[in-house]
Amino acid sequence: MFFLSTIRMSLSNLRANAMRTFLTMLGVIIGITSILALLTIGQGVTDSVIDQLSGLGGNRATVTIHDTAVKPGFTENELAQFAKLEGVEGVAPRLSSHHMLTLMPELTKSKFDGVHTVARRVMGVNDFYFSTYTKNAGMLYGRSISPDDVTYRTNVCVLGFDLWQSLYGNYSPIGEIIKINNTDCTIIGVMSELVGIDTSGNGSIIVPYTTAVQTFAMGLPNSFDVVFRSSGEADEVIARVENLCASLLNNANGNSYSIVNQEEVLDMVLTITDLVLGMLAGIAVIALVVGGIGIMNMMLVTVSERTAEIGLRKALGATPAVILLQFLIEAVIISLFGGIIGVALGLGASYVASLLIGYTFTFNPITAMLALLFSLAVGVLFGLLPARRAAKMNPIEALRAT
Amino acid sequence: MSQKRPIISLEGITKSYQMGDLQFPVLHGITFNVEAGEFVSVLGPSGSGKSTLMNIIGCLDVPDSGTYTLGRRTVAGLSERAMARVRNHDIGFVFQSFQLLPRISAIENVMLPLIYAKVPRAQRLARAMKELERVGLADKADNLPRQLSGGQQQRVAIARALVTRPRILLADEPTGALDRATGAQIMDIFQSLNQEGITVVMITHDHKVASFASRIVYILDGKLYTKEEYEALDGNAGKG
Ligand SMILES: Nc1ncnc2c1ncn2[C@@H]1O[C@H](COP(=O)(O)OP(=O)(O)OP(=O)(O)O)[C@@H](O)[C@H]1O
Ligand SMILES: [Mg+2]
Repeated sequence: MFFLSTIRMSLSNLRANAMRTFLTMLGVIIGITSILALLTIGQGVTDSVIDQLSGLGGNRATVTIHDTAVKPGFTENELAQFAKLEGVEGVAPRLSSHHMLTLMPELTKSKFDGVHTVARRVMGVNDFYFSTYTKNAGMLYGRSISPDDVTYRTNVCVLGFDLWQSLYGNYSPIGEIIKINNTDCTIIGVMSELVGIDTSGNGSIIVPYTTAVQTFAMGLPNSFDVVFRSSGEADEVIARVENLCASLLNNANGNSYSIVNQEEVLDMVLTITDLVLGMLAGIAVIALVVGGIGIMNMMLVTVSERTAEIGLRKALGATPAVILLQFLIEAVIISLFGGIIGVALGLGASYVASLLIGYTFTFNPITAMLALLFSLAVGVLFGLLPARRAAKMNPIEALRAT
Repeated sequence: MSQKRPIISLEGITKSYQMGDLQFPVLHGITFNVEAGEFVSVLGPSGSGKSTLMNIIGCLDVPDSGTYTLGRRTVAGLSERAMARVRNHDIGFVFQSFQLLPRISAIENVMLPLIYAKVPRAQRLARAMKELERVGLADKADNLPRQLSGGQQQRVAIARALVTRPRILLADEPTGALDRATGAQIMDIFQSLNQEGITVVMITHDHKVASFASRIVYILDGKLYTKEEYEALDGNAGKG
């Protein structure tokens, strides 16, 4: 009852200074909008990064030889040994370097009139690469690289989606021939577009890695991924991989190779995103504090402008507590209104961002509630000092102010 | 005058103001009783301490020493909260400059004390309307203060002072901002309120205004004098 009339009074006071009220509110609006937008966008991006990382398979490790003087790379035979280890699903070596592609009109019907030459990334992989890494994309045309292609070092190639579009538009060139460093390679397939973290295949031309080693002299792969059968036994499998590495490298010092568990990479990424999110939230909180100081400033001005009014209200029987409440309510109305607008804008911003960046927008009511609670707290916190000043005002001095 | 106990009883009230390191004594031991139902004027020149005295009577300020009894209650030592209640329930204030809140209508101004008395809104409206009728401004209830003449504004202020049905009306130069005719109207209202039983204490430096009261006391340099004492003072006999 009494509360209601106080709120009504505060609203009419705020309306009387609508412009000032709005500008003051703007600080809170900006603060809450940025907090909410950053948290929702950040959460959305983090979620999709995790999604994609674990979609790639968290259950794998990357083995890399750093000291190629000790051992330049792994042979086909050695890779087969890794693949046969207990608990290993398969291994995926990857070679990559740029080479000249030549499209001859008599060998293939590309977009170009005459001979077209272009430097593109050539990736050497095995059949396991396709079964593991591109499983969610699949083939647009033709087939992927088979175990036989790897074993017999066939001169075949698969086009990445972007490369295919840039060379052929919409035409399916299966069976036609493209020259890589003057070697004829038969196009056996076109990959669907890869989405997610590792999209390097899209712009590449992909050949059996054995062909890459022998025909294109790309060197032995010094790095490959080991995929575990189940992520639960990662530690044991990594120990076996480590043993084999050590013996293959003749127990050279431990720095000459590394085994990185992707689970750890995922953890690291999470730590980093948490850190970045925390920093952004910190900045947003600073914005909100600035907004709060704006409220405090405006309320201090209001209190001194309304000195006579405060004196009169006291003369008419307002207790200090009532005066305190009145000014506190004004501050809280500003911050809470700002908070509500900020939550709406923040959610709107993160929805738009989700469309632009391409993560899935989720509305988290707890975040919204927290943001509102936060803005309420800002109003109370920064409204308290001016309100106390009003409450403590001496009624005679205050009345004399007219 | 009367053998009843006084409604306002001041005994040896002193008050001084601190200005830096210096003390400025304003009231020097004032003893002053007002019986219930009286209409008393406090007459004195500017700076004599009239407003200071009224602030003490109105529980807006506390004396440095002396005792103040309001009805049966000793005011000394009351909390701020209790003083606010006294101002709300027992005293109605009328100021020289009206002191209406400019952005709310006449009736809302009149309702203000009832908000602090925690009276429900419907009753507030009814009671405020009754007070406005009493001062003859029922038709101006929805006007903003600036849409009223000075005399009308002061009548709204009187309605506001009366709305909590206080026993005492305290007025500090209530006609100070009004012309003589309008001032006389206000004095008529005060007299009729007094006849209804409300105790009126009015502060003024204007002899003509003071003469509407049933009793006049004089204040000079922080000391209070009865009419007889005042006239006995050197050089003042002619003026009184
Ligand atoms: N807050 C204060 N601080 C210092 N001195 C004050 C204060 N209030 C009043 N005084 C001084 O006390 C004296 C009496 O002031 P008061 O307001 O009571 O006079 P008054 O009789 O009401 O005068 P007026 O007729 O002009 O209103 C004056 O000299 C004034 O300067
Ligand atoms: Mg005065």
